[in-house]
Amino acid sequence: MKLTTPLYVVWETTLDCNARCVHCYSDATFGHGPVFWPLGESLDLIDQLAEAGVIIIAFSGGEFLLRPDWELLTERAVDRGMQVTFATNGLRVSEVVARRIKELGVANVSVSLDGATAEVHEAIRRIPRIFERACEAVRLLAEVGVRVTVNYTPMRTNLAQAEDLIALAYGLGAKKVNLTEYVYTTRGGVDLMPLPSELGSLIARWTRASDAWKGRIDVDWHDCRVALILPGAEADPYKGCGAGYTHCRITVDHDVTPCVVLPLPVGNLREKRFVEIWRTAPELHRIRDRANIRGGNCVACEHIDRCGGCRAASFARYGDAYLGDPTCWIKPDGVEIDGRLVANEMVRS
Amino acid sequence: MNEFFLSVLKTEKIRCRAEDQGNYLLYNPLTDQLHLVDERGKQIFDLCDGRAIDDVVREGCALFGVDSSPAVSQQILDFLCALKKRHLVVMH
Repeated sequence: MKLTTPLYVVWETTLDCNARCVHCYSDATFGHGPVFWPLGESLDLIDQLAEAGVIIIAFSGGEFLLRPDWELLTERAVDRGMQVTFATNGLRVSEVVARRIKELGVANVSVSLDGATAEVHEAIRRIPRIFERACEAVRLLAEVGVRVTVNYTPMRTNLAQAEDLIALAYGLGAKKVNLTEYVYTTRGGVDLMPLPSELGSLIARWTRASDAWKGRIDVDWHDCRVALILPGAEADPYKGCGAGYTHCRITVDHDVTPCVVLPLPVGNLREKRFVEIWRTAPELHRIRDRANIRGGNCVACEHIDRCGGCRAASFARYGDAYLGDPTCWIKPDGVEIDGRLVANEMVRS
Repeated sequence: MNEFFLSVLKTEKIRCRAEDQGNYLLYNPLTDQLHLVDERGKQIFDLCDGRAIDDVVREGCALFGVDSSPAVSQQILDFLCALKKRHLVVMH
């Protein structure tokens, strides 16, 4: 399927944040201050995305709700016909805010919960009582009728709580719980990344849980390779790596990058309009073509056309987005030795 | 199908976007699924505004330049069934 413009754009609206997450891909910081675009420029970006035909705009951060103009941005995006979704750590979600989110017509709010217990979640988010506040945010939003997704990022410290997290999300009223793989792009280190065997085992558990919870809560995933282990229609062909194809990110520095976790600027919105970058940026054309993957486990893999591996993980591990995918469990890009993944190349030498 | 359902209506909030080569992308926010249809499919989808299924079939046949051809009618019914299966339309 060829797409003229991305289906969704993740806009990093601010680097200010009220949490201190160990794994933040934006390297947002507590008390960072108002590092974000002026309102006029922000509204113009929303207009550009709407005119380009973008279906979903995902306001990201930092913490989007720390922007004083978050309601204006949301209102504009809804008015321009886009589906609005945003992620939050939950700290700013009061009953009043939840009702306002509902009034504005936000399609989905993703609340991050990286553990089913305060101990695990707060070890990752590093703010006292953030677990309790995040749970409360899910409950408040669900109560006023906002569709809530609980976002779960599996790391080595929270793999054991996956099933408990689904049960927790369901109990709080979430409609969906989504697994998004961890890529150590900025703050988080490689030690947080599950080994391929651990991730494969988790995904097997997660897809089983998806069946078990069917009809009660959607148990979903954002993982390039899951489609390969599912039959027929469930194996949506667009669930392979969609970097620079189904989606992209816009940073606070006005850069367009192919993916949220792939910090590879392909154009800057202070120099060009969004649609021009999307259609002409050489790096985007390059990443859309799987034939440009030139090394590692993906290059000889029979699934390369459908999957493509995680280009961000390749970039994170090797500094090159066109090599192997170190997070793949189907055809691992190395050998697990003493709890670490040693790249195939290193093993051979 | 006509024995059980009389009318057909687009599901709420389906987004439609023109793509290259005369195709259209239908996005269902409730299922998060994408569906690609051609120009003719888009025209038939647009007919699903709550009108009778028989009318959609008849007008769909006209789009194909035929008068209620059994083969084309069946194709259109099959297409409507596919839309229903994918939660892109509802039938009553």
